[in-house]
Amino acid sequence: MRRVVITGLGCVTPCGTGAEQLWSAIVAGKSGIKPVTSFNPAGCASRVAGEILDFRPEDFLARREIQAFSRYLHFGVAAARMAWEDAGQPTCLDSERVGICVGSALGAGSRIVSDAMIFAEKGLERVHPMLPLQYGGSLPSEIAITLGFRGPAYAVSTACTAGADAAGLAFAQIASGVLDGALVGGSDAPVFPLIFAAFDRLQVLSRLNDPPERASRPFSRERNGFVLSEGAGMLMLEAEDVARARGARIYAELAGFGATTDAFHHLHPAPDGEQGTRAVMLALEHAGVAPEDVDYVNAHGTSTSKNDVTETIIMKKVFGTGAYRVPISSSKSMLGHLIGAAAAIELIISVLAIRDCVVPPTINLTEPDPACDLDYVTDGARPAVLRTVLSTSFGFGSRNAALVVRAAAN
Amino acid sequence: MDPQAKTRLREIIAVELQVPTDKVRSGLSLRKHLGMDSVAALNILFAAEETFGIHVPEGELEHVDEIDAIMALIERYRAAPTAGAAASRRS
Repeated sequence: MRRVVITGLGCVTPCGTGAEQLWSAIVAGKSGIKPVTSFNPAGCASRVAGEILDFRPEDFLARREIQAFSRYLHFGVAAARMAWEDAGQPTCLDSERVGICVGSALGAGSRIVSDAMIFAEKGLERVHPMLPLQYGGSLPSEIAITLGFRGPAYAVSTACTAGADAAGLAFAQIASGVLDGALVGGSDAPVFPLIFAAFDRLQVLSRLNDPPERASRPFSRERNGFVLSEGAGMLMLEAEDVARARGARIYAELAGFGATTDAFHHLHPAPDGEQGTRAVMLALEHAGVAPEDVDYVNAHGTSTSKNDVTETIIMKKVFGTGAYRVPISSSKSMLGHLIGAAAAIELIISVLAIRDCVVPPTINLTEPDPACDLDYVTDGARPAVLRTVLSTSFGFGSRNAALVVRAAAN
Repeated sequence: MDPQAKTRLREIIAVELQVPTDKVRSGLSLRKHLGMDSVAALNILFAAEETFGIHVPEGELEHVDEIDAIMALIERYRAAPTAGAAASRRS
């Protein structure tokens, strides 16, 4: 099986556009959460979100594509273009052996909803002919059209683990020799009235509205939900031999992937954490590393009552007493939860943590939940030798995913 | 012909076909010279309907292939929406 490496990064997030902007904010512990401004959240208990207010789609797409498609696609194409450019735009790769795999929860939902509202108001004559093309797969198709990739182009609809699943599936295709490279990641644009209100009605959103930058409080005693956010993260993966042959700058190795399902509940994780533990162990085994080799865990850490305590249980099952020594932090404390894009962005953060030997912090954790008693890096970003990083994701629908990233061999 | 409306239509066509506005000239076949396919034709019609507040019955755009012909269609439906439809049914 071939080794797989990461050669390009791109993202659009509430903490910045582009990997370096994102990373600077994360290391500085700077929150991207603000009061909702793109609509009036009156009637909702939650009033905050990770909205991206400074994104200019015209920097990445033609007007035609901007008008024809959804915000989900705009974010995803922008991040894909950035990752491709960051990888050096390797047109030497055989386009028939480069694929795409992106994850999302809502896909083009915001566009479908706005078209439905126009239909309800104005009738059949105002139904847009492009509506049938607003589906999750519109993003990988547009990336393929834009960048000329001719390998398989997939969209994975696995909610909070989608970004990790997308990376893991393409990883397998490259490792087994089906592909030489792939653009992978996730995109989601869920911050619009219907879906925001729906999450609020499900009582999963943070009601800690004031101040907004403290609304996401993973592992803390007073946490009461996640902050809904939007954006996209994309990474260029290549077979190591192919990347080295073309002289690519290699960020890190994608070394392991594991995925399982609790088969328990559409919303809540199984409280015993068994399958979440198994996903992590599968990823570690795939990477050929033992738990004690892990230098840092980028947690799922959503700030919900159930995830954070279950994740802590999983960490203890995986690491034993070592769980008290390995630093664990939640980037969602600053970004909020980008749903299908979350795992991809957290993979980007994990890669840059290895590059710079810095453990990013968890912010807003001043009073830990007694059931969450591990080292969540609450004292700011921490210099550390990082060779192996674990990134975990635990999602709606009882699913679990884990990725292992390792410093590339010289 | 309303020159401002024509300018607006030229822009709609140019955006959809991804060509400079000065390439959208009278006498050019949108299908043959500028690559307008069936999806692009539908999008141009939809954008024109939104911009000019009209509705053009299905099938009308099949018979037009030049900017002046689309403009004539728009002006017909702007002037008399139901008469325009009636004229289409008679022709």
